[in-house]
Amino acid sequence: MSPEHIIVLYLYAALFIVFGISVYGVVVKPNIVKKLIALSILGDTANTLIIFLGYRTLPKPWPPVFPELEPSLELIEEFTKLSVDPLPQVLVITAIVINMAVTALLAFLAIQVYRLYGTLDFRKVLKLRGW
Amino acid sequence: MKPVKILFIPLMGLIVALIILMLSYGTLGYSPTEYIRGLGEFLLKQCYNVFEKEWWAGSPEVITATLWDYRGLDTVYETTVFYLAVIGCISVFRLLQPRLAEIAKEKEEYALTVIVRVATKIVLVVIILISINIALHGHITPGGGFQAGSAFAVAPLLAIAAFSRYFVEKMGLKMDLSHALRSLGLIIIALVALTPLFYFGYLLQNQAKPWSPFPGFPVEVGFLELSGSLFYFDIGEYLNVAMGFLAIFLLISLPEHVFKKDMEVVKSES
Repeated sequence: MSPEHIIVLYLYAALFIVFGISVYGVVVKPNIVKKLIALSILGDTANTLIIFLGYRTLPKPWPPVFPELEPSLELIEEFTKLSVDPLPQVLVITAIVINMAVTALLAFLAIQVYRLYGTLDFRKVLKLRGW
Repeated sequence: MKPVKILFIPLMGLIVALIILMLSYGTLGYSPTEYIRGLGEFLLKQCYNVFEKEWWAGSPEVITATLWDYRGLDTVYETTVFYLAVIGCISVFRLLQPRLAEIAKEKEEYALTVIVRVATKIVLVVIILISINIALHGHITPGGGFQAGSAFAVAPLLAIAAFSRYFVEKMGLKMDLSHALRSLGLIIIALVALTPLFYFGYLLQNQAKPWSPFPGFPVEVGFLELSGSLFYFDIGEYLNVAMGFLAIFLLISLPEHVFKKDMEVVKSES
């Protein structure tokens, strides 16, 4: 096993541990705000994983931006050889904004739940009916 | 909590993680590797290929080009989702008597120290300028509409924390402005997306294609590098995201007693 393989496996393991912790938070924690925090960690873990899949294990990979405004054919060839995959990053930009929109909406709903019921514990919210 | 439950839940998380690991490993193989996938290679090769312009996007920034040219329709839908989420937030937090928000303008009795206030004012200007820079340069350097909007979102948050909600409104960043500019951003995106149709081109077309009569948006105007439609899309997206966050922060910082008063009216009516 080369050192690059070990680093990649280590990152995989770290991401899946964080994933497990966030799933635990979403399922177990009774407080709605804590559920929301765990949910956003879950989304960020998924995004990191997707970006990570687009990485290339080269010694010095380039970012997917052309370094010059008037490229030559050789530069385009070199860029294609050395740059990381742009597609996962594009997907993640989309996912991040959707994630933020969903988080904002859920935060607003949590505040509204607190206003209506006076508690953020969803077990108590289920017992209370009407106001 | 019962001990069985405590044991059960980490196990469940582990199983889900293992299933996802297996799926990703099975479908993608050992990843990341030294090599690049075919689609990524196509994007990198064709995006700014000035010698063979059949598939090019006219922008050296591959991510913005992919976002608004190759996958443009996706991004338009995503913008719509964001717009609708902001509308959802506003409708959850709407006041039955909007004039109550006017009463909420508290007098500035308590203020933070001079150091905090002056430093915040300087940083606010810098944040807004940098966000505009990111938006207008998004098609040449890393950046774009989303990133710039997210950078701008810090500004009202910081102003609310260091001063008050009233200060943000005094700066001119009001709810009405937010609604107007957000809609303006969407209108810019829609108009730029529909323009090729008037020339019998395709929806969201950026550059000229051999099989389409649309001549393409200008890549350069004088010394300005515009990268076709990407520049206008970035501006529209910047307005949409920045003003969406402004609306969210203005709503979330309304004092609690305003809502209590508003709810009392609802209770007395029902």
